[in-house]
Amino acid sequence: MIKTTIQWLSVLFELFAATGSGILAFVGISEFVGSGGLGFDGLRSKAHLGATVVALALVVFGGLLYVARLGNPTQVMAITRNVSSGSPASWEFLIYLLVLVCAVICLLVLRREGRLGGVLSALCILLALAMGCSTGYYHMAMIGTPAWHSPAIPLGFTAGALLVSGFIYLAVAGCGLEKGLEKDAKKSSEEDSKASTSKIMVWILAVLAIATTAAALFFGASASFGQDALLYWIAAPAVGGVSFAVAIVMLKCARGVSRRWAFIGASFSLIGALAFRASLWLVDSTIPTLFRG
Amino acid sequence: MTKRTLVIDLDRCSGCDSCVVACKFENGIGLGNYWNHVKPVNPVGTHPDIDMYWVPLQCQQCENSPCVGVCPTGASYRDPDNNVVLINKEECIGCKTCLPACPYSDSEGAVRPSVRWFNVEENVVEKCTLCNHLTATSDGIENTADTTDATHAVPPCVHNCSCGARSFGDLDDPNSGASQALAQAESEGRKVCTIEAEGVMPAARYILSEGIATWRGLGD
Repeated sequence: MIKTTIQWLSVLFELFAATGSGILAFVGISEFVGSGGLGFDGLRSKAHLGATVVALALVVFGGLLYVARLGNPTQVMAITRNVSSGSPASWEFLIYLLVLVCAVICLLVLRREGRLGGVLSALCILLALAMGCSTGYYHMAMIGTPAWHSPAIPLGFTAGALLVSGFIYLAVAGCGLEKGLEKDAKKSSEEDSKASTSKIMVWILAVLAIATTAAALFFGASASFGQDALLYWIAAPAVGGVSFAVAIVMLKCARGVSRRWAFIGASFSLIGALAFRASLWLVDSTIPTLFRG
Repeated sequence: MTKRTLVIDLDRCSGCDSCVVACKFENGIGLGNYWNHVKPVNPVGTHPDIDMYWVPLQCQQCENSPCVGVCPTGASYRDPDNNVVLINKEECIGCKTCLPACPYSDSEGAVRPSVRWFNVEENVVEKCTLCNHLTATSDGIENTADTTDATHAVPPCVHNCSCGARSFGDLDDPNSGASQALAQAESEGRKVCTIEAEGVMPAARYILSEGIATWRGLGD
C-alpha cells in the first residue's frame, strides 16, 4: 500500500481562510440580530473590532500558508494573472482575495463608525459562504479522485468553518462584552440583549454542528479510509457531535455568552474541521487498484 | 482534429522497460522520477491456464483532460497545432492541483505508476509529452532509414521498443503508425482496449489478443 501524504499547507490554508471569513460573517450576523435599539452599540463596537482583528489575522495567516505551499510569492502572481481561467483553484484564490479586502474594509469601518452597516454585513456573510464552498469545490472538482465527488465536502467545509468561526466569535466578542459590562454594573438591559443575541448565535452554531456532523457522516459512509478509518470516525463526526453538545450546554446557560464553553466549542470544532479536511487525503485517491501492489 | 497518441501492442510487450529507459534518457529525467512505467498485471488462473500481461502506462492524452481544466495558471494546456496535452514548465507553479484531478496520477506525483510526476528540484509537475519537442511536425510514420528526419520522427520510447510493441501517430490519420497498428489489429480480430476512468476518454490504445490474456485493465 502507498503512504498517502496529507497536504497540510493546503488543509490549513483552507481552514484558516474559511474560519477568518466566517468570523466576519458572525460579526455581520450580529449586526443584523443585535440591532433594534437594544442599547449596547458601544460595547458591540469594541467586541466586533476585536473579532474582526482575529478574523483578519486568520485570513492573513492562511494567505501566508498559501504562499508557503507554492514556495514563492511570485507563484501567487501567476494565479492572479489567470483568475479568469475558471479553475477551482482560481475561484478559491479570487474569493480569498475578496475576503482579505473585505476584512481590511471591515476593520477600517468599525474603527471609524463603530458598526458595519447592512450592506457590508451582508457581504461578509456571502463571502464566508463563498469561501467555504470554494474550498470544498476545489476538492469536489477533482475528477481523478472519485471519493471527492461528494456534495458533502463543500457542505462540510462551509458548515465546519462557520462552526469554528462562531465559537471563536463568541469567545472573542463575549470577552469584549463582558469587559464592557464590568465597567457599568447597571446596564442590565445590555446583559439581557447580550444574552438574547448570543443565544441566537448559539442556535445557529447548533444547526451548523448538526450540518457538519451530517456532512462528515455522509462523506465517511461513501469513502474508504483503509487503515486510517479509525482516525476519521473518531475525529471528524465525533468531534462535530461534541460541538453540538457544547452548543446545547451554552443554550442551557442562564447567560448567553460563556467564554469558557465558547473556547471548549472552538477547540473541538477546530479539531473536527481539521480532521475532516485532512481525512480527504486519506481516502483511495485514484483508480482503486492502480496504486496497490 | 488531430488526435496524437500511442498505440501499444500488449501481445508484444515483454515488460523489458526499454521505453522507460529511452524516456528518461531523452527527457533528462532524474533518478526516482518517471514519466512512464511498465506495470505487470499479475498472473491469474492455475497452471497451465495462466495469463498475464504488461501495461506500459504514461499520460493517456485524454480528450476530456481534467488537468487542463483545473490548472490555475494555464500551465497545463493542449497544443493547438497537434492537440497534445502538455505542461508549460515556465508557468507551472507547483501547486499540484492537477495531480488529484488526473485519474492516472497519485495525489503527490511521487508513487509509481503515477503518470504525472512532481519534480522537487524544479517545483513543477512533469509528464509524458509524446516528445513533442521531436515530433511536433511529424506525420508519425518513422523513417527507419533516417531517424533524425523531423517530418517522420517518433518518440524514442517507440523507436527503442525492443519488441516493436509501440506505435505513434494521429488516430484521425489512417496512414499514421498508430492508425495502421489499430487497423491491422482489428483485421486480425484482436481486442483494442482503453484504460477508461471517470469519463476522461483516454486516447491511448492497447491491443491484446484473447489467446494471450484476458483484458483486466490495470489488474485487481
